[in-house]
Amino acid sequence: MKKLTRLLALVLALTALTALVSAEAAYTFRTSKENRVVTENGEFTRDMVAEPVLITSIGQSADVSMLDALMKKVGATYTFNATAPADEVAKYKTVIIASGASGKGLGAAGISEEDEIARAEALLKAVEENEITVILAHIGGTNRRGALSDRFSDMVLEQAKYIVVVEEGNDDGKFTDYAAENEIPITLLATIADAMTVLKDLFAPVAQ
Amino acid sequence: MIDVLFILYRVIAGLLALVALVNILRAKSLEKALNHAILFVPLLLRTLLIK
Amino acid sequence: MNTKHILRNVVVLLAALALAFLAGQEFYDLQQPDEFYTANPALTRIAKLSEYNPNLKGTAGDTDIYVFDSGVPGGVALVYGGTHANETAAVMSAITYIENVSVSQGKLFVIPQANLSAFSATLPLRAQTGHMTFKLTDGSTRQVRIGTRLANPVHQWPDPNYRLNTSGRMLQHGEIAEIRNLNRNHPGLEEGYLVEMVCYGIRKLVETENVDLLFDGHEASPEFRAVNFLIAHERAMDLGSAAILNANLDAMMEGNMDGYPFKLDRSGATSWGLSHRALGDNTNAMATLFESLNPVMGFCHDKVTEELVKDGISPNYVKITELGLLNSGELTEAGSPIELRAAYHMEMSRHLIGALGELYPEKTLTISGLPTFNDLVTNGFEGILKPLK
Repeated sequence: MKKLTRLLALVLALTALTALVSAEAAYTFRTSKENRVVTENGEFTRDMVAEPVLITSIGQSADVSMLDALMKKVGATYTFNATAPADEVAKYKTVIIASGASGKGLGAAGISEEDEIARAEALLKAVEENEITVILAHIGGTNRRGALSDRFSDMVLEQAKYIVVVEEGNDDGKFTDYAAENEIPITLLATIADAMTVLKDLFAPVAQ
Repeated sequence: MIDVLFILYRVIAGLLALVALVNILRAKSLEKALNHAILFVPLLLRTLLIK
Repeated sequence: MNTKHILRNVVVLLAALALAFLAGQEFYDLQQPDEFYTANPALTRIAKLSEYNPNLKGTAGDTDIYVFDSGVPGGVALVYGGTHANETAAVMSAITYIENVSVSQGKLFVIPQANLSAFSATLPLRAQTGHMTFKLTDGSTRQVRIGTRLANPVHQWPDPNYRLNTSGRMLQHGEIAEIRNLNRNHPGLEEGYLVEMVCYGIRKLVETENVDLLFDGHEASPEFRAVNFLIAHERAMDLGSAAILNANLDAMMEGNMDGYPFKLDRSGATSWGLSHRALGDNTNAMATLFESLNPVMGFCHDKVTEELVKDGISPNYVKITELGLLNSGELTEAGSPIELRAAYHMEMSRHLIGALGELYPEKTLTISGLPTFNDLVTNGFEGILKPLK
């Protein structure tokens, strides 16, 4: 009986210790109605991007279409190819990658998860070899968080020079924590429409 | 064929409603009469294409 | 059998007949058509779906199509609700169009009750209510039927145990009853089950009238993972993303800094029979579908009252939201009122029509006259709907 009690006490102590160690501070939202665009860890400015610009997707979520609409709205000059292979990506100086997995998107593109992972790996190798500036755009909110989406985002994060995220999708601090640890500028947006502000600053044609 | 099946099913529903009606009248106990009545109501409504 | 037994049995029979009469009265009432306001001067004519599939003539599926033809060449859109007759916001949005819209370029078709048969029945065992009533500012009332997801079995019966429909979808096992669901049977069949013929009528309408944009309005329960999503066929993805962006920018300019909760998703490659997939694949129209949040449709809904139906206030779902169990259909004490949901439908469809002209100038469809989002949400349908007399 004594042995059992000691064992139970040990298990309880270990559980409490684990809980204590793994307890994370709750995430505090930075954006608000009044403060819709918040940038941390330094600035990412226009002189850090160069043309030609490509927008593509890793995960084939519909967010890449939203990104396309945003870029059109700001009058940017760019190429849109949601399924761009590595050899095409290599031709660009700046690549904006909309990360987020969608089974429907992959199905519609006729791509399996494994194929998309392989494409992502090849693409990210190409950007590293060619010193291409990568901007990670996570604009799908909580709908684009999950095991596969996060896997894709993690792959892009390794090469990202700048992160743009709709803050709803950062409710656990995933992107802000990574950005802080790796000193990457990150811009948090209240809503997807606020991405216009960022994209305008970086890509809108400059009045002559 | 689809129309024929519809008519056939309506006829079947009508016949079953009739059987239920007769069974209500011939029931030997209140319990049995009520049992047949429970069947009769939806069969009648379906025959009349009300429900 | 003795006289006492016969008398008792006759009494039981009379009671059964009385019950059938009383219950039948309510079911019969639900089969009576709704009355709509048709005095909008911009309304060109009211067509029938049987003009596009003559096999529908005289059937319960021959629904009305409200045509707004400017007479000026331009884009053509079809906005419809009532694919599922219990998805009330889509119906109310279509009614708002019928009563208010004006078209100065292009042509607009509006169908408020796509699956007309479905309005004549409610969903068994789900304690749904059959009507929604609005008391207008002039004291008169407007009433709209709330039906069910599927066509009424008194109009289409029996359900086959197996049906391979024209979309390639196999309706069997758990989907046997879906032969009565419009949104599993597109692009339809000219001569087949009633719902297949209705689907074919819609397809022929789209083809004959060269519809450029198709908007199919729906609602979903809080458990659904794609509430407030616009589902777009791949050819409509550009349109959908432009529309969502424009809607949000407009909202912010009008002081609604949170914008709208609209999100975009691609039509599934295996969504056979659904409007966005089947009509997108089989016609030239850009096919879209929108889902708003209707708490009454969920399995955990509270007691069904007009308050729940119209105000969408559901303490059960507030509790479920607080427990973090929902993915997209979160509810607060403010509820999900019919006006807000219908306003979302209106904004989404209005901006799709706007984006149509923006992306394809030769397909410009210019509409006006619809109440603004704030008008509808602030004044409610009591202040927006027009009296019938």
